[in-house]
Amino acid sequence: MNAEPAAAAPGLLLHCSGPLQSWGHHSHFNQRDTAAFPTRSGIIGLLAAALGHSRTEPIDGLAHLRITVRVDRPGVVLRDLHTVGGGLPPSGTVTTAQGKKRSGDTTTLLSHRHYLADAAFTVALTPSPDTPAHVGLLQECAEALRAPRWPLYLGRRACPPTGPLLLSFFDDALHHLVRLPVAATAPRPGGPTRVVEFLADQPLDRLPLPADTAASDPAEAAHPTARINDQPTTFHPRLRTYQARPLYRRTFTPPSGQWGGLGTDYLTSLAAYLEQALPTGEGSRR
Amino acid sequence: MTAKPSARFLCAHVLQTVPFANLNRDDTNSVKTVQYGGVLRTRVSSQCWKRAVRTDFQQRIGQTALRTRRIGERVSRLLTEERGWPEDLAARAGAHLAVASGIKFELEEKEKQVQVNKVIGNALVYVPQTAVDELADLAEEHRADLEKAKDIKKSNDKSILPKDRVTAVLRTRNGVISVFGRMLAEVDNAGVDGAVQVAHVMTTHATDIEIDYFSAVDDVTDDWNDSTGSGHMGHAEFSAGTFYRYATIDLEELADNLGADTKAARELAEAFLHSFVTSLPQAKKNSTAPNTVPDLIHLTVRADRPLSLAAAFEKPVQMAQDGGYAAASRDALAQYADAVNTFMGDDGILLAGWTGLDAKDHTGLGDRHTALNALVTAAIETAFVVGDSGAAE
Repeated sequence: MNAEPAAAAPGLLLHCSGPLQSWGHHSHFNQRDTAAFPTRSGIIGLLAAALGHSRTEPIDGLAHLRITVRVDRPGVVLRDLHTVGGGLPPSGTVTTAQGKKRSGDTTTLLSHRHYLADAAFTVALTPSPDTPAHVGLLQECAEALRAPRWPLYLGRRACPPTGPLLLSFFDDALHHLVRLPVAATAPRPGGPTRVVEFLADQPLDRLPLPADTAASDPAEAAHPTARINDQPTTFHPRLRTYQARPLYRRTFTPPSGQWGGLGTDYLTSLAAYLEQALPTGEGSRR
Repeated sequence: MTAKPSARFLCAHVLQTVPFANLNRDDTNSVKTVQYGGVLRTRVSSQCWKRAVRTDFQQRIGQTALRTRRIGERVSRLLTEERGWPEDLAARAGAHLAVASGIKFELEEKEKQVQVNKVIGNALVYVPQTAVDELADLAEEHRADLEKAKDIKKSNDKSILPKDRVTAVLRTRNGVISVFGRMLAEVDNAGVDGAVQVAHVMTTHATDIEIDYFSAVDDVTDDWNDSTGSGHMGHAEFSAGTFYRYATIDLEELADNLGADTKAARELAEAFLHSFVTSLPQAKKNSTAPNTVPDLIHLTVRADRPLSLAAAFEKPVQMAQDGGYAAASRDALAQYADAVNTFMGDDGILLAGWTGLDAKDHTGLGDRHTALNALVTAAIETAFVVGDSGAAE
């Protein structure tokens, strides 16, 4: 049984998908990692870029938005080798297995960059309960996502989103987050059932799941399963810092008709869903 | 009055078929790959293709930017070779210039001997080629001081040259830097956000990696016919396929980087489009000669936002009945472009056009142009049209 569904909250739904994404959360020097899902800092940074806020500007209201991620396709981790420079002074390079430094002509550094390939996420942005005034901010964000100040990317510059990034402004964003077509192909008939995971910075026990779907225990979804260090305090290049925040998880089994397929197929099922879900009056698609 | 381009983004989409090749290798010499739509595809990293574009672009616009840790040594060499400075003094001048940049440095060591005045910066500077001359001029101006100055022997030695004037040179930019950007945290306000965004390149379909076993014949062994052994054996990896390539130019950022010089922005945007379309990474070029040209180029000029069409190939393209992926890839691109423009609305598209080898029409990709030049010219003219205010140019 689900807990009493949360009251309807307006918000935006985003479709974060592309061949590659990379949501670094504890990258250092030559090892650039990626989280398995869009981080808070990554999404807030994307909104700031759309709004045209420079890195030194305060994050303000954006930092308070609630972000709920639905993992449509988890993707796979891709490690990319990138060589850097060469010609570094020996003392500045990595230590060899013998505990020595390399000689002057073999000091090229190898940088390992991790990407999430083939992943797709549906992301809900909703106001935090104590600052409902953020509805105005969300509307501003929607405008900015339609015509961003800077080209947007999924965590790293070489990872542009494909297709529609902004799906729509909804009067009840979480309701639609649960029901919107999943950007993945349906599991093979007779094969194992596939669950879709939700990841959020707020408890997920009150997620408005349809009554007839199988979902994980709401009691567990009411408590954080981990903490993640991705709450940005400033994007200033010299002062960039992050704070920890709780991570809540929940899974559910989408009904067979909810799998939207890939590429053009997904767009078609999305258009059909929005046609029926957004009669004139609620939100605006474009 | 500041002139701004009338459009915001210029997107380039290219389909290009490349035969048996390995344009971009990973650390094990393998072809780079990526999973997309559940299948493995061949990939060329954005960094790799971007370097090919930049090399072509520099030739096209007749400007070069220099990326180096050895800026001091470079200036020293100019001073001795072109301005007749004695070697010792030139070396000292170069070292003082490099130290004045404020970038932390080490001195080169050879056989455990510190090499005086051989300054190697901890960060690469990225400057217009002309900066070498400007720094040499600065050294000329201070020649008397340099003659009296000490050599640079330790990594905490100070420069006698004016730091602000040296860093001012390191902050200069040219067309190349304005387009591709620069990251240089060590010098204040030297960073330039690039005006182009280039995506990783990948095939529109699943690919297999071919392992090519080879042996090299030893000519003497062969002549004497005294053994069957070869001189060398090995293997190399290759793959073939139809690639989707995507890049976008942020026209406003480009104009900002150029101090609202719309004429320069227009020329650079045009050169970038040509370079992006025609360039090819050079890895293993002598053993595969993969010198193909794109078979479809689609350009859009947009007032709203850039848009990659990679999702056209999220569902991998299937080989045609009589073989080949190129025609099916072109159809998939046109079909997706049509669907996504219907879904998102096409109000933001100021111009859409394409050119290529196809005899058939692709309405989803806008107007057909007979040649690349005509397509690029049309896109540039739309992007830099004189606005209502008459501000552009």
